[in-house]
Amino acid sequence: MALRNKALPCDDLSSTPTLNAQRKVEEEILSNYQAFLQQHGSSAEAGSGDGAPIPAPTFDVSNMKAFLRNSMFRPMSSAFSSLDGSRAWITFWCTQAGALANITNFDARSIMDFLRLSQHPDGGFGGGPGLLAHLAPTYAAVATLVNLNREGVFEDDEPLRLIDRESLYRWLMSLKTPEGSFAVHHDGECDVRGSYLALSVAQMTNILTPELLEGAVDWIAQCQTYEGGLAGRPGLEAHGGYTYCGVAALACVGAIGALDIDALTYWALQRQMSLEGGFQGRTNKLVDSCYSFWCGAVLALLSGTTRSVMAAETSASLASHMDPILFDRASLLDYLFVQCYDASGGGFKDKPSSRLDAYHTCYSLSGVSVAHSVDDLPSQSGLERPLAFDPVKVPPFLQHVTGDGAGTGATPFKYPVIYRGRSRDLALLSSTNAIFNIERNQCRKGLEFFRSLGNPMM
Amino acid sequence: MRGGPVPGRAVRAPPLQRPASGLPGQLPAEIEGKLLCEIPELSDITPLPQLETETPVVKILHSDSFDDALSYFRAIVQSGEVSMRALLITSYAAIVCPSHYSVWQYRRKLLAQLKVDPHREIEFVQAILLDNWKNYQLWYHRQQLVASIGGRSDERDITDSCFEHDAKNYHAWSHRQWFLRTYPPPSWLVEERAYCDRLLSEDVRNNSAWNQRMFVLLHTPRDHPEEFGQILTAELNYTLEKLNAAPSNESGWNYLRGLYTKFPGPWDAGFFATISASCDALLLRESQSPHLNAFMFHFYRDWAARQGDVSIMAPSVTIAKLLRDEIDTIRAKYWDMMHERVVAALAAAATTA
Ligand SMILES: [Zn+2]
Repeated sequence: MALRNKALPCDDLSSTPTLNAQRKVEEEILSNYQAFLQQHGSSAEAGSGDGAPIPAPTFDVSNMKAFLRNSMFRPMSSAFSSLDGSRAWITFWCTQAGALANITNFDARSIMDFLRLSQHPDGGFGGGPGLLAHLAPTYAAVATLVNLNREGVFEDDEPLRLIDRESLYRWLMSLKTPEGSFAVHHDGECDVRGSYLALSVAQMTNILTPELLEGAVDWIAQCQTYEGGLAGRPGLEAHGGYTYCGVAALACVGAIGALDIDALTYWALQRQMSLEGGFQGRTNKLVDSCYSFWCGAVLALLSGTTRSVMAAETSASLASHMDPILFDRASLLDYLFVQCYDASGGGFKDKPSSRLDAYHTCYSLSGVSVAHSVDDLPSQSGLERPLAFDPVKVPPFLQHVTGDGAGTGATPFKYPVIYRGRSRDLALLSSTNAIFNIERNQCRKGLEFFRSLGNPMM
Repeated sequence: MRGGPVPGRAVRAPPLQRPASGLPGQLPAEIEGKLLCEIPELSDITPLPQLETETPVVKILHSDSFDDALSYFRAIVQSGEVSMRALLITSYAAIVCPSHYSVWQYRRKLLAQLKVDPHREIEFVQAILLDNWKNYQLWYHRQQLVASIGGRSDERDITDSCFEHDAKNYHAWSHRQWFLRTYPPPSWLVEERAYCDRLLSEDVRNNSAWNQRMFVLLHTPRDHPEEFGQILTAELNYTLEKLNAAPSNESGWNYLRGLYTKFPGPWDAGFFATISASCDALLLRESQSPHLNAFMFHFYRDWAARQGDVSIMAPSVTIAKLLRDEIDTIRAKYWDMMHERVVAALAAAATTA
């Protein structure tokens, strides 16, 4: 810990705001881990790194279904008014969390109707019915529709067919800026979120063109900072959320090789906290469960490249025996299950002292999926741009991005949890595709469906 | 307490004032505390309720004032009304829901077409910003306003105020960098470095302040290598001093690595000597520091690549093992991989030699 590793020392005797906040969180985390060990009669000592076996945490999803359903279908109080422009996001958080936890029997038709009503006549989706189109709810709507498109619920891929691809494409093109970035809406701010949201939606729905991509890769590469991570814009501070956006945007067009991979890898690994086990979002900030996905997925997206660099520099045998997802999987899962999961509420919190919410439930479960995955993303040390535009076949680098290894012969990572009194493997969860953050099988189905329609813009 | 004064600038921004009552687009009638549906001048507008699906999804039960403002807002958007009373309606909507990007976008259209004085609007957005520092829409709106007056507003002041509460606020740093890049005040490089120093003297682990120091460096002209070399050397010494006082501060180590990776030049040899001497000295008292050791591992490897001399990275082999097995075990897989890569590189060099 924290359960498995020693905490890094804080040599400073001085008290600064950063250090005080960090120490407060560490104390709480440590005492929770200690209580967890005692409760399970373990002889291990939290934070000592003594190597004693760690008991399996409890992960009871019984209440999750009610939590996710209530989040979508029970009216929220006026305390949530500030989310009025982000309602499509909430459907994504809940349906993606549900898809990963195998909770899918929601009223999918009503969710689809809501998203249909939020689609803007001039292309893209607004955060709710009648709102201006914005890239964030556009991504959220497309990802939700792909997750919802299940056989037996809908016929003839109805949720996917409601997306108007031609107006979507024209709208995406209208958001492009001369520098190669994307505004998140007309007359709105430009940052690397815009790049990810625009490119991932275009790639998913098979409307990506060289014109849409022009300049985008170079601009994203400029966001990599001296620390190795990516910032929201060139010059700003490296940040887990923006780093995910930049790396996943490049991954979805086969261009991860545009970045300094060694610097990026180490920066992302540095974000994993020795005592807590979870990730922080920036250097010297506090742990937060949503970065389990933002930072964890970056390392998953780099896995194929990591392995191929190892093969090139050392030997094929060392490369084939390494775990190319370099973060400490067990420590991350310890943080999520022991510190952040609220079984009675049925969701995850950002840290133990917070309240659960749909956003952190989505990104914690997505992080669990990444920590549990074994498939490599094919190496992208070179640019594979021509492949990005295949209008008929799904580019290979979009497919097997994190999963349970089914069919690959790989051994899944073992992390037992206690569910209803019995020890089970975490395989009770489904896996996510780390590029799109959509449940893996649904994601593949979506990609194949839009390929079957062809690219109307090429 | 704040540190020393920043040369050329007031020590502290004047406290921000909430504007006196009165909203842009205000009607002659007294509207204080009234809902829009109670204002006679708006009586010919039919408010549009929120469109919902048959089974409402993620429905929010808003307050009356929220529903009132947004219903009128939807009505004017639908009719495309451009008028002072439309501006008033967006004022109401922006106050009840500052994160509503549609409201701000429509409002900017109105401001431009009605030729509203941007200074007055800056006051308005400032009043809302004071309670909503983490809001993309407000900062973007402010940026557009400042641009419309050609940058004639020192935006360092408002960001200073924000950093009083939250010295790592990402939006405020973004705004500040935009301002400095677009409308650079005279001698801002010197002032900004001093400002970062002040923030670091309060919290040496404020990574945003370190990042801003790098921003200053990246914008420092390099046409006189000697001068730039002096600035870099001063930065190097500054960083080593801060690290000596707090060797577990990751921000400082990342900055130190950035200094030599981002700015290669004639000073390279001197830098290498200074850094290795400092690290060796620090190692005497901090031999088990994961931060120091991780830095040294990368340092030897970086310089080997820079000099084209693989043998420079020889010490990295033992350091990687120490990190992997004892002092940075959460990153054991990484250190194991890097250990193998360094060993292989050294072996290949030995064979060639
Ligand atoms: Zn979070």
